[in-house]
Amino acid sequence: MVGFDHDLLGPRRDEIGDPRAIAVTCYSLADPSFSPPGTTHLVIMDLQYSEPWTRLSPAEYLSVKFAYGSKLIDFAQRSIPGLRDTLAGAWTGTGGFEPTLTAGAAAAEAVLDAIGRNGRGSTRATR
Amino acid sequence: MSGRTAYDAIDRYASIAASIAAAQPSEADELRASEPGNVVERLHPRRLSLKVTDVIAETPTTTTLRMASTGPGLPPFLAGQYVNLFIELDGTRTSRPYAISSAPTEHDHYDLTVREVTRGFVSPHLVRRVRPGDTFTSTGPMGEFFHNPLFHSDRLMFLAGGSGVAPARSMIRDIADRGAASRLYLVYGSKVPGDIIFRDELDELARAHDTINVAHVISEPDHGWDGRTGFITGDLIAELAGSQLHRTTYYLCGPPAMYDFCLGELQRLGVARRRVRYEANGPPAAPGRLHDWPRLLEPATTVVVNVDGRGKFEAPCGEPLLNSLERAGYQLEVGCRSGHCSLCRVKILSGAVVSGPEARIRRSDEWTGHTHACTAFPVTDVSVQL
Repeated sequence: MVGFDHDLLGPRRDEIGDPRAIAVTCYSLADPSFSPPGTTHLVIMDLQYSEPWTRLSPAEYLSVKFAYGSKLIDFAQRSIPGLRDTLAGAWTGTGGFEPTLTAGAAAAEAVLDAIGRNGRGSTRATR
Repeated sequence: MSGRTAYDAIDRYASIAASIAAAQPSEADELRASEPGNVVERLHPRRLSLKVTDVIAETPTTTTLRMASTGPGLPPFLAGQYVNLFIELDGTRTSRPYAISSAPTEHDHYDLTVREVTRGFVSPHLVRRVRPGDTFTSTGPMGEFFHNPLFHSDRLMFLAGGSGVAPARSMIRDIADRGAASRLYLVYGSKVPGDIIFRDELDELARAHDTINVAHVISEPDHGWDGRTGFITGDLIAELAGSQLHRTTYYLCGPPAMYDFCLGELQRLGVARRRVRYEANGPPAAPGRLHDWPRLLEPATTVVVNVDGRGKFEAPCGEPLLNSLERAGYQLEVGCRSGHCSLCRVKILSGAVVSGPEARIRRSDEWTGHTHACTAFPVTDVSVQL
């Protein structure tokens, strides 16, 4: 990606907020058999820092996740009107599976540590 | 060695002291507790340690087991989800999935409502012999059978048969507890009035909430029954759904025969398939009727199952491979036991298995010869890799 303005479109580090930029992928375009006949398959993705999500209580997590998933569909509907009414299935998830999430978060924290983004040399000191 | 004390002369002192030190919470541990991997573990624990706090007799054949955690707090779940309960009976360690019938708003316990299956292996024990204080292990909450606000309607109709009402009770109580905007119509089929589970509670919830309706349908009514009779037909669904017929999301949970019948009725009404959700329901009850089943092969025929490098045993070809493996003492990771979750995936090295239509086998698994042991029937001698 060229010219991505992180401040304008990147995820918020301090709160979950609203989606500001999404990527939509359709594997069915390359391989129609990726989803059942008569359907297509979309992945709506945006970038999120894990930290605001780790602050949610277990009881809050599920409702916040669905609410955020709904915002992603609303966002996608700007380009794909009526998307929600055609959905035959929808799933929300963080990173797909736990090892991805853990590895991704660890790598991100290491990078932030290295560049001293918060001025203290360690992102963990802010917790 | 300097620092050596008299304690070091005590057998295993050093290792015990090390394990005590390792068990002390530290600042580093507290930081780790909020790391994403640990958050995921709190939300989706692989195992729960449960203790029965109450045993509630619902009907002559149905019991609710109220379970509390003996470890950390119970994880959240979505009304309609299940846990897979592990149990050892007659030397066989096996498991069965049960929908949580309590509401997600009740954080201190899960209710598991179990109906005795005639000639069943596990359910008679759970219904008749479990007592308060008994302990169990289960998976965390699992499954996709719940109201998904991303694409389900706010009009819900739950078609339940028998103990299939358990997840409906959770959904109804969830709506009642949260004052949610959704409306749920429960259409609940039972054989005789005495079989109706949660009857008083469901009727009371329907009286107390405009958003909840309950219709009982009895297939073999006695003289005292003056309610609806027969089965959950398309005509009844159309009558109760009214103008909302085509914008309602339908949830099916009950015995296999009910699925075939109700899915056909909904199709006849022209209800879009994407508006119908149904719960996983175990392996096929009659494997001999599966499309790919070899003609002339009797389900009682014995085959040899060779577990790669670990031993072999005989099993009837009409029994799911997972059950045979468990009876022979092999343990697999397992969740839904209905072909969906894929946790019991095994590789078939040689021989042939037939799977039911409910088995959601990934294409990549087909390429590599993997199958879901819970819904796979070995129709020849087979070699498997666990």
